[in-house]
Amino acid sequence: MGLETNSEIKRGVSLYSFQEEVFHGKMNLEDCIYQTAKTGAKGIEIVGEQSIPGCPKIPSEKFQKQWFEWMEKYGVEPTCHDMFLDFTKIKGHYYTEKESIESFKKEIDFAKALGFKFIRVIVNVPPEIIEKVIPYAEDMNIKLGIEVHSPWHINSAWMARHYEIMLKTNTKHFGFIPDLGAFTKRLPRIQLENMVRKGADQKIADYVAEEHEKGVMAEYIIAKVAQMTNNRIDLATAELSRHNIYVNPLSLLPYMDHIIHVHAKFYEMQEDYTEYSIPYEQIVEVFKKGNYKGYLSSEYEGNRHIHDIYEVDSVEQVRRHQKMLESLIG
Amino acid sequence: MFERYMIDEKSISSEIGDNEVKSFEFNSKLPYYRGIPLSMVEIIKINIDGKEFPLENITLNVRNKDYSLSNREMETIERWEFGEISKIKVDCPDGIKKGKHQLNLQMVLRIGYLPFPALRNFSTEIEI
Repeated sequence: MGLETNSEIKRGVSLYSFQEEVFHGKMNLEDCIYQTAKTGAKGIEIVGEQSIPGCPKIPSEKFQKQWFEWMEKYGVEPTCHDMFLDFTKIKGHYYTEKESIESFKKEIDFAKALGFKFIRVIVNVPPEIIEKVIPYAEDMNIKLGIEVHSPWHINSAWMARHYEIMLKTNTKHFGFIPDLGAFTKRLPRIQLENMVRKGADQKIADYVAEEHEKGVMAEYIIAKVAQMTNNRIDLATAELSRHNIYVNPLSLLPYMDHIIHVHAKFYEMQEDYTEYSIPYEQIVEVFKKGNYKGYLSSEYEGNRHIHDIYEVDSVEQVRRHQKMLESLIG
Repeated sequence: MFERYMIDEKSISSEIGDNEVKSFEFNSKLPYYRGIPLSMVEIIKINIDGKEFPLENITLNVRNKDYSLSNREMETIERWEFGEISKIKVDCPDGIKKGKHQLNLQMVLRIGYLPFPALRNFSTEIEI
C-alpha cells in the first residue's frame, strides 16, 4: 500500500449530498457550489431534476451565464449530470424505443448546455437503448456512464450486457459509473437504528449486522430472519443486507479503463475521518492501482436515515469525506 | 424520505359553511429527492379519522394552478419541483366537524426505476 504516488485521481462532490439543506431552503445552488469548493474539490455533479427547476428543459441563457460565472468564481468545473429515464411517465403506457431515445437526448442537450462531461445513466436503462443513443453522445461529446448501483455490482448479469455494448461499439462515450454503495462491508448503523426506531427488534437488527459483516449471503440472512418473526419491519431489516451489498473492490480492476466517473457514496463520516460502513482505504487503493484518472464524487446519503430525529449537517459530512479522500489519494 | 413534510400543519386553512368544514387546504412538499412531472404523482389519498375521501375531491395546486386527479394524469411537462411548496386542497361536500382530526396522507409516486409504486405515508393531528 502507498507505493503509488502522484495519483491523478480528482475529487468532486455531487450536490445531491446537500439535499437536506436545499429541501428546507437553508442552502441554495450557489451555497452548494461554494461549500464544495471550500473542501478543495474541483468537480460539481448534480441530479438535474433536483438542482435545476424545469430540468431537462434547457435553462435560460441568464441562468447558463450565472452557472458558468459560479464555476469560474469558485474554481470548479461541471462533471456529471445524473439523469433518469422514467419509462412510465404516463400511467399504463411504457415508453416505446423512440420515446426513450427522445427523452434520453433531451438529457444530453441539458448536460451539454451546462458544460457537463458525463451523464450518469440510471441503472434501469437497457443497453439496447444506450447503444442507439451513443452516436448522439459522441456528436455532443458527452460520455454516458451506466450507474453500477447496489444491489447490482460490476459483475452482475445486467452489467455484463452493458459491457458487451462497450466492447462492441468500442466507443469512448459509454462506460461505467460505479457507486461505492456496492462495497458496504458493514451495514450502515444509521439504517439499522432507523429500523429499530420504526419498530424493528434490536436483537434482529444486531443479528443482521453481524451476519452481513461476516459475508453471509443476504438470502440466507433473510431466510433465517423469516423463521424468527413475521414482522414486516424485521424482514425489511434483514433485506437491508440485500440492498447494501459488499463485493471485493478488486472486482473493479479489470474494468478500470471503462470507468468514467465514480459515485463515492457514503452514509456516515465519523469524527476520525473514516466512513462507518464502506472501506475507503481499500477502495481508493484499487483506483490507484488501476491508474484511474477520473473523479471520485462525494455522494452523501445519510440524511434520510437520521432526519427523523437528528439535525442533518451535510456540509460537515462532505467536509470530512473530502478530507479523507484527500489523504487517501495522497 | 421527507414524508414528514407532506403536511404542514401550521398552514391549514378551511372554508366553513353551516358551521361545518366544507373544504380545507394545506402546504405540502413532495416526499422525494428530485422534482417530477405531475403525471408521476399517481395518487394523492386522504383519510380523515379513518374515513377515506374520494380521490376526485383532492386537488393539487402547483404554482397557483389546480390539478385534479384526471388533469394530472397526462401532465408530463409541468413539474412539482424538489423542495417546492405546493397546496393540497380537500373538498368535503358532506362537511366535517370543526376541531381536531387525524389526517393521513398517502402519495403514490410512479418512478421509472422502481419495480413497485413508491408509497409515501404521513399521519398527523390537525385542527380545522
